[in-house]
Amino acid sequence: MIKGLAQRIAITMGAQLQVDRNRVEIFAYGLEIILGALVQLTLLILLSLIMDVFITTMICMIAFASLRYFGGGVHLNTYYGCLTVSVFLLMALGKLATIDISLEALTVISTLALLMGTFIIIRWVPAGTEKKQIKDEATRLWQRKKALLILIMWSVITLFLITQKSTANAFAAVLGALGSLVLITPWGYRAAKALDNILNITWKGCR
Amino acid sequence: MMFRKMMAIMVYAMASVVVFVAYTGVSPNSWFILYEPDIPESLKHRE
Repeated sequence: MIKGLAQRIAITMGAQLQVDRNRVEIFAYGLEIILGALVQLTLLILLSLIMDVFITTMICMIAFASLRYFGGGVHLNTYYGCLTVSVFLLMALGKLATIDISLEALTVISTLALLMGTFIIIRWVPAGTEKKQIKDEATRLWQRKKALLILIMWSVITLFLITQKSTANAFAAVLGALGSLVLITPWGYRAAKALDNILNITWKGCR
Repeated sequence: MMFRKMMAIMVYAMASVVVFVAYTGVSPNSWFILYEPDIPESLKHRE
């Protein structure tokens, strides 16, 4: 549906601007990304408002997205699979962040997340997919540095939130970062592939 | 006449945003969504 809509809008834009077929394909690709993200974001905002976990879910999402932007990670094969998994994952993390946790436990989890994250970034970032892989070593190193900087930035934010005794928000930042980091590892790839298969079977069974 | 001109400006602006997003889509950075659309051939050559 999103792909079809993106293509229709791209063709209309192409006709208006009188551009060639290649340009229309680029329009369709860009529109597919924008429309896909818009639908996902709208659904996430609505559901988190209904479940009363808006703030923690949004913090989770920002931490997740910022690390993913530079670190990469696994992608699912279908848009609807992606929509279901990502919305469910971020909502679950947002909800989990609201549980009562002591400041000591949170400090330990944050420290572990920083150490584990550093290892994951050095070992696996940038995590590519079949459709997109970064092979140039200089670019790979640059992506690692950027991802590491984002991880440090989130650790500082978490530390600040802990000192302010804003436990739920600090926990949300840690969970969002951890969620993104797990999807960079080979185990994250395996789990996503298994989920993809289950969703495909379920989807076929429903039709 | 004025409406057409405005429409043309809007389509140009929209096209610029869409092309920008498309180029960032093939850059080393990744959008947060888990789904990754197929990259068009014309963009693959410019990677």
